[in-house]
Amino acid sequence: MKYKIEILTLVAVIIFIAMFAYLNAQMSAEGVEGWAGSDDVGSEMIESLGYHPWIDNSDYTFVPPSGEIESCLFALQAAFGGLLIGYVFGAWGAERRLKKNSN
Amino acid sequence: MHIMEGFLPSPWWQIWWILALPCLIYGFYKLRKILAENREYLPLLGVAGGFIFVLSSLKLPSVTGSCSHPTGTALSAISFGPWVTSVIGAIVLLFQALFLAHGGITTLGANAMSMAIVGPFVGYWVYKGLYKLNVNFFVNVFIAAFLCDLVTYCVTSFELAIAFPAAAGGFVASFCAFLGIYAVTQVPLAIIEGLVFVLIFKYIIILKPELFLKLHVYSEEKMKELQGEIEE
Repeated sequence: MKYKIEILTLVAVIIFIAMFAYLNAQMSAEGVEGWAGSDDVGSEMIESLGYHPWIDNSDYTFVPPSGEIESCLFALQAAFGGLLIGYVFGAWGAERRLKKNSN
Repeated sequence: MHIMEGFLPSPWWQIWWILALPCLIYGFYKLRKILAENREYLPLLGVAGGFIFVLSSLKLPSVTGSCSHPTGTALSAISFGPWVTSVIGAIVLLFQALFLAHGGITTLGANAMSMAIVGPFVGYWVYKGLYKLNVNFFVNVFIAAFLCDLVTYCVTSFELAIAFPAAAGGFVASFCAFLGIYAVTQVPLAIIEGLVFVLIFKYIIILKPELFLKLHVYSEEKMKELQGEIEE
């Protein structure tokens, strides 16, 4: 089968989304506040041990002033990466087509 | 997998920096050598870096009710080897530390160790080992990418556990607790990441197989076999 891997990936993604929908419904029924980043969960656990961070990003560099701006920067990061990937794959695809036509 | 800024006490952040720095320097040397050898590798290098950028900015929900992100280091680790990957990974981490306040300069050594060095190393070795054992190429890529991702989070747990041993149970108890936060969340994401990388490798084999030949990702006879497998 030519598209075996594609189908397998699609099925995995669908299962993944279903799992999210199910968990989310369950958590909102229980009234649990969820979906924080695992980085933050880990940091909270360390703080619960009584440890306080000795330095902060805002001590020396730019910190996104709000969650909106942070997600904007993340989206830009992904967009630049995506553009680069799309450009290179597009160029490779065009190169291959040109080679095929010349023969 | 970021250890946030300030969350590693001395001497641990210095230790991880000292361990990571030689890897980065050697990686930089290797990177220059590869590019001097053949400029044709540049697009593939860009794509490999692009995947680390894109995938590590995707925060996906997972089984434990928290979100985490894939690492995307597998393409770079398998095609260019772990040394070069350490440089690309460190650049992405530096960007995130400086502009997104994710991770930090003092914890960069520890974060680079987990995402850019140990994870790719394990993935690369597993890939090479399974290649010698003649495991199906796509199965092999899946396992390697899965491990690149999961090992990263195990190393992060290790780094935190060794700096913060639990009062009761010490290092082991703490390690298990951090694994519960980082690694368990990561398992479904690592599976998806593995499948995505299998697809990426498939399309590179269709479009630009000669790059993988030159980089010794596989041999010529193996490539014929793979192309037959794709067209089937």
